[in-house]
Amino acid sequence: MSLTQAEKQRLAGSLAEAVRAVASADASALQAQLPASEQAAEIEALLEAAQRVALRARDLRAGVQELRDTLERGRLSTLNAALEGTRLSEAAGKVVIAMTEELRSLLGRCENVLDEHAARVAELERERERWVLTLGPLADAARAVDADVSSALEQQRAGRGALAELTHDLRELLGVDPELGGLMARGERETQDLLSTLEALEARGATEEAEQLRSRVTALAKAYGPGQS
Amino acid sequence: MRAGAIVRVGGVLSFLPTEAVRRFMSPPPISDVSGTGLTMALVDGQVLAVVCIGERGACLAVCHVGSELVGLLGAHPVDVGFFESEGAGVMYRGQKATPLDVSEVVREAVLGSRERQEVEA
Repeated sequence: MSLTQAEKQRLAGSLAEAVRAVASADASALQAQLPASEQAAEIEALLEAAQRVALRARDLRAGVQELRDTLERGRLSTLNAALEGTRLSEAAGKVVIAMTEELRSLLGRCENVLDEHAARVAELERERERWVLTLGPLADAARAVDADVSSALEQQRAGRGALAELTHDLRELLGVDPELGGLMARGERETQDLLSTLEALEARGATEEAEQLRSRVTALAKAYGPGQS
Repeated sequence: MRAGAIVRVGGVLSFLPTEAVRRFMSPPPISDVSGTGLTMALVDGQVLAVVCIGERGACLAVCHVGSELVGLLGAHPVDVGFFESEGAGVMYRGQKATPLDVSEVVREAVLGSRERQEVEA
């Protein structure tokens, strides 16, 4: 199949358009990749923080249990002290018992506060589990988007490579310059736009304005025409 | 007035007179005596028989039975002091606390152990 020079040039122009479109898509994908990666990293960081909170909660629970055991030992000590008090005479024993009761009452208050702390720790733990349940799917989705964008970039890179190769082959085989083709295609589009504008002006009865535009185009053509600098 | 400890055994208040109880402590490791259903523990360098009379809690009551010491698991101490006498027991905050006979508890545990051994034999 033999092509005329104009057809070759059009083919080159289409190729140049394709190269430009791929470059533009590349730029968009690159712009999308950064926020996608950042979002995925931020969600990962939140999940890691939730993991650290779980470890702290475990430490707190262990601490609460240790304090509870200590309070229980303290309570038993006060009971033993009271028991020794009962071995004394009633008058002397009652003084010792009153003191141990005061101590036991204080220990009881400590135990109540400890129970409240334990309840708060449990509440924090439940809250953390709710975060993890919410963040888990978000992290998966962010990772998927990041992977998709990376994959799209990779494919575009491959496409750009193929187009560059095609451009080179076309230049070698047909002796046409795709960049020149691109410029020609743009010129053709812009000429079409200009003609449409003139038609629209005339359709609105703006004959004078249309004439002015035509004169300016003619002047431009003369100024930048062949043989002009 | 009677001196002693009020303990809760399976939700029921009981009274341990001062002379029957030596002290309360956190339960040490308890070992089963193979084939008897009895248990024992090392307390202050001394091996004690341990009888479980209720839900095991965070306390072992070390009691006197004659010249021996016995551990009771499941007797949770509620209070210690001088209480109004009420028959063989005492009144504690408007409730009657019946006396806990440690000798009887031990006797029943030993009988139960013998019966178990006979059934197994």
